[in-house]
Amino acid sequence: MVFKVHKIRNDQIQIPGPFHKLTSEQLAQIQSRIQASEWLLLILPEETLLFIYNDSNKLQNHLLQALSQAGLLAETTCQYDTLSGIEALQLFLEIATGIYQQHAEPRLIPYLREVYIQAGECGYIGPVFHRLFQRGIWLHEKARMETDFFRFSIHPHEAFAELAQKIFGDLGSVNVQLIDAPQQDWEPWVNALYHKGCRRFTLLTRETERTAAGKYDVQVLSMDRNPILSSNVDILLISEGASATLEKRTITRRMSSRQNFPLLIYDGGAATGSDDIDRIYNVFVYHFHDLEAIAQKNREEQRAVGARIAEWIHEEAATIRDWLFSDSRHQFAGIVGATREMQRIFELISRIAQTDITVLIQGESGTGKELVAKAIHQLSKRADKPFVAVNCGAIPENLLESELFGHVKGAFTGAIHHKRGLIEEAQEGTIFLDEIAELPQQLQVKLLRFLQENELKRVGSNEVIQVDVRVIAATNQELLKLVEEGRFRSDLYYRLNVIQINLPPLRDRREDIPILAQHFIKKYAARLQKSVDEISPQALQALTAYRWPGNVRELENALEHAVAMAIGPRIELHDLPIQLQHATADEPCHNHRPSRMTLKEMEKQYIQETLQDCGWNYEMASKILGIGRTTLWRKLREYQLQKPEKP
Amino acid sequence: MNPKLVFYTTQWLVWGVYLLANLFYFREFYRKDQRDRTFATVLFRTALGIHLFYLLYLSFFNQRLPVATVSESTSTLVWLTAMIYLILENRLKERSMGGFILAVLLVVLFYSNLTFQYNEKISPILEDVEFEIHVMVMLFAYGGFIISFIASLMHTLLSRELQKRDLGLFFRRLPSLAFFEEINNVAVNIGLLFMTLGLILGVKNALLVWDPKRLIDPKILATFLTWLIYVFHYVVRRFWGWRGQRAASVSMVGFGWLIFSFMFISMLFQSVHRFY
Repeated sequence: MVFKVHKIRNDQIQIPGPFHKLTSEQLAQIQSRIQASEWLLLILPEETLLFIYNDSNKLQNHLLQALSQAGLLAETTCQYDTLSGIEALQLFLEIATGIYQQHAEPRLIPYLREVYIQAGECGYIGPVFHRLFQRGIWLHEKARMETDFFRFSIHPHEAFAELAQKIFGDLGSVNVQLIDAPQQDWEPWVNALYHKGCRRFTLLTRETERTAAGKYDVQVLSMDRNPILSSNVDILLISEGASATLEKRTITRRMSSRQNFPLLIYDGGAATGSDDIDRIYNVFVYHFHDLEAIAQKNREEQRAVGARIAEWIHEEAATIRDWLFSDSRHQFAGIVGATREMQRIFELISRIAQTDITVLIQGESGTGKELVAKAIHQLSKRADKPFVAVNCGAIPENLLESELFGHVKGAFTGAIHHKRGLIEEAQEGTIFLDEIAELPQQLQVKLLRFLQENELKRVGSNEVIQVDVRVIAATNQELLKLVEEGRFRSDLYYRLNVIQINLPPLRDRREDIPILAQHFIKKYAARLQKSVDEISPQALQALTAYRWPGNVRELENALEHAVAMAIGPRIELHDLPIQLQHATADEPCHNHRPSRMTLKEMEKQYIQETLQDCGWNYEMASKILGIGRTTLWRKLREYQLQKPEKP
Repeated sequence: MNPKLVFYTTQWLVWGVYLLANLFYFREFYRKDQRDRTFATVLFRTALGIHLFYLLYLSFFNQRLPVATVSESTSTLVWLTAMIYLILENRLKERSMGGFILAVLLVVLFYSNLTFQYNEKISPILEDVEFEIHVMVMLFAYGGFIISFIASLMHTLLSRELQKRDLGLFFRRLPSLAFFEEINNVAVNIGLLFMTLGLILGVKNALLVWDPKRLIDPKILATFLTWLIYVFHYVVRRFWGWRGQRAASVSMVGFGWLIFSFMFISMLFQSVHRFY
């Protein structure tokens, strides 16, 4: 197994600029030359990176021919560096974490995501890049939550906006006045202040047709008819070339009329002169060189923090390298799945795990809702705290309240002791409320209050208890429909449904059945101490053909049954439960091809059908067809087969 | 178990755990590490728990509230302030003041432990309920002033960095000047309210047992001056538009005077208010 990256300087290749996305034709041309299990090409500010993963060491990557074919190289020669193994993994994680070259480049992660999705749709990436991307996102969230890396103001206008926030706190009611000069671009300044909460902007200008600052709502006034500093101004920005001077007495007047409410001034030129204006109490004056010095210092501090994140990345890269050699390639925090839909769910989990956002998981019974909840808990900062799972449908209605919220002694007949509720038991951890739709109406109100205020009262007590618990709810019903029918409170629904995860039923992700089967065979062979390690094609076909109303749980039970029944090392069709043995007959086989077809026509039709069955997952289709992905791609081009556009 | 040993062991154990919590608060302030945060939180709560046990044991042993001697009242003050801070921390989700508050509390608690005398004889007047209420109310007031002092200190540290245009750790870690100004104002208002009430109760109690002339006493006058400083804080803020650094400076002067009067006036002067 090889993971490597080729680094080519951008001045050696023909691209419109950094963060450029190649067309699907260009990608297909690269694919035709690169013999790789998975690959991804990123065009970054200074260099273009081609990440390649190969299952086999023997494959040759014709890098230069590939780039040339895609029109990125004029000739088939250029200098490039190659990193492999842990260094290459680390580089990818740095990009996915958003700290490539120790900078917080805001365009990096959105760009990577676009390229990643495009490559996924074209079938050029698989479990390795999925894993790398998801772990990168998880690391990004960790760095965002636990360090200041992404908060450093590394540009003067950002430093100024941060200063404003440190002085005024809430900037919503603060008035900003901009003193204009020809050619002054205020957009970055207004943008930075807007993102910190400023909403009231005025621009004083001498230009009659000034359009202010881009998309922001800025009131434009004439500089000749309005004072530079009126009493309601709190933040004043004076452009470098503005022909304006600010006298000490003007400022003193403003300060006394506003009861010394702070005044922050950015003087881009020399408007504040040599007066000791900044000695006036509660007046803060900054020049461009001050802001640049702050930004420079921030850049240095950011690099130091980046070194700490790089240590996490190094550890993660080592874990991924070990994982590459393990056989759990399709697992994400204990959940098995390789389909695109499952990968998107894994990405979502990575993105939200470290926050305290409430999550609502919807999916049929047996789709793994609790596993998803556990994965969120394990990847969160609450991982070492309790995870309490409650099935709201399994506890009698009259007991549910005291189970969830606890009770005090004497609250009802039989309440002989104080009892902590399950929510309290999950203190600092996560509570998983399964079958939330079964929650009685009066408890819905109580749960809503707990979600909004993070506090609860035990049954029979008026004492308010503060709790810090993350809530993950799940249901196998359509909650919105219940809301419309008035059986579930809409306010609770919207409070729970901050993030929704919809788990697909197993029949909609049949491509996962072989890897799920392998996973369960391994699990039950170990548990039952049997040496079963494979499944016959007939048995696998039966598994794939069945409708699985009980979803993954039913599949797991079926395989436990099969492993128990198996005599040799292989599971045969007759080892499966009886209803599955007949499943083959229920589903149409690919035997409906009309006669008198040429071999090529049959091949074309068979490839097309296989691709359709696999949801156009090229990797899976090539495995089923028994050909390499490059061959598959060539055949697609030959037969002019294309993935149908979604309606 | 020997109660004397329990008292001495527990009070220094409490001090030690507060010290550890303080170190982790500062480390968290400096490094912003999740583990430091967890350690600081756990240690701080543990210290509060053991401290509560110590105060309850003291109350149980002496059959009165632990507010009669300097050692007892300062120890109670520390616990009350720490509790108020913990509530503030949970409500505001802001931990930057924690290390600084704990540092002040450690100094006060150190003083409390040093002045502790096992089985100290106290005047019977100090066992009166009204007296206990007077002291408790004053302790709440002092708790408010400690918090106002720390908020003012934070304001000053941040304001200095902003004025000097040399932005460092305080700029990075602390919330806004407006936040500290708000905390300072609220803490002084509450502190002043309790102190006014405490002084009225104190004078009322004193007049029952003392000649009114004895109220002209260095300690009582010093306390009255403290009250005046905080009244001044309220007035200049309300009517003269003092805010920001000026208001913070008044708070710090008030607290400085409070500590001075608390610790040193009794050493320098003879006072009728010996239990204070």
